[in-house]
Amino acid sequence: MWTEWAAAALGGALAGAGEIIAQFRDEPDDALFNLPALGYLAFNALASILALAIIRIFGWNIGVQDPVLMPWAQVVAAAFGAMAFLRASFFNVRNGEQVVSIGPSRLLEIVLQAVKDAVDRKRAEQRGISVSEIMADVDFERAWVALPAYCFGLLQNLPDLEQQKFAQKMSLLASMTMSVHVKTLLLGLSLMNLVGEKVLATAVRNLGDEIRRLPPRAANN
Amino acid sequence: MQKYSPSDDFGSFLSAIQRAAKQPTQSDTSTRIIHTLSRSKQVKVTHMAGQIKTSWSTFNQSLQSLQEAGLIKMQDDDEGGTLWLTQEGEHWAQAMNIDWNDSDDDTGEER
Repeated sequence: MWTEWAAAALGGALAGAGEIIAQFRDEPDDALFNLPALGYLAFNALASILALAIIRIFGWNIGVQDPVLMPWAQVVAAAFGAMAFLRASFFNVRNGEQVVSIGPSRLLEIVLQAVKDAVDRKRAEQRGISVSEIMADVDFERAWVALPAYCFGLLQNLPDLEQQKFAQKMSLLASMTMSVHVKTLLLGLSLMNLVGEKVLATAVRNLGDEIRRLPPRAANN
Repeated sequence: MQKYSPSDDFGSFLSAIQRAAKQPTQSDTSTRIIHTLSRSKQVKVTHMAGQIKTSWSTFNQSLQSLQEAGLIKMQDDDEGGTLWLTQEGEHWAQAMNIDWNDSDDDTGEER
């Protein structure tokens, strides 16, 4: 029945989606709905379908005798089997300090890396435009402590370690010799990585004049 | 097993900012390290120290700050270690390039 094949494909695609979401926690929807990521999901879905086909060709009943339940047991076995097989490695090879897995997982790592690179490239342009727009009127000196603190307050669940790492980053940025415009963009980019575009935009909007550049006074006044 | 414990909003951030404010800064050295890594991808620590031309302690502190901030990574090896930018470090370098392109004459470095 086609629903069984669709369920197997869905199981594989969900496993792939989980991996991509784990890699791009700040904007999971943006990371998922683009061509390379959809290709990765399709790759995982096809592996599950192939696993189901193999199970049916060899007539494995997965220990279930009930004729109604058996096809669904095969679907579950195919989805989990493909997931396990694609992520398995037969042995590891040490190359200097780097450990390289040899097996099907190697292929998946390469495909996943290609997806990451493609998604990163695609999102870089989009992020650059978004950050420029959101941070357009923000004054770095007024915002570099207040804006992150407010964003973290909105999120409520950012781990201590991430907060400390971010503080280290901001202290470094504040002390660096570069233009205020670039500092403001970097503040926005770093925050966007942690809290996402929507939270950053909301925080900038809510803080309003507290973090905006002061209008230059008229020379004659 | 270590349990995940969410923080209370933003207290850790403010405390860490206060702590960092009390430490001496090595801003120029950090900027130059990122600049060098953005052009060379991977650089030996010894080579970087030679290029940066600053005191050993300042250089070490800058490396530590950049590592703690998650902008660079260092891998120890027999030749004193190798440095490279993290993904976020690369994003920073790209943004900082706007400044470097404008002020290449000031740094006196060739591209």
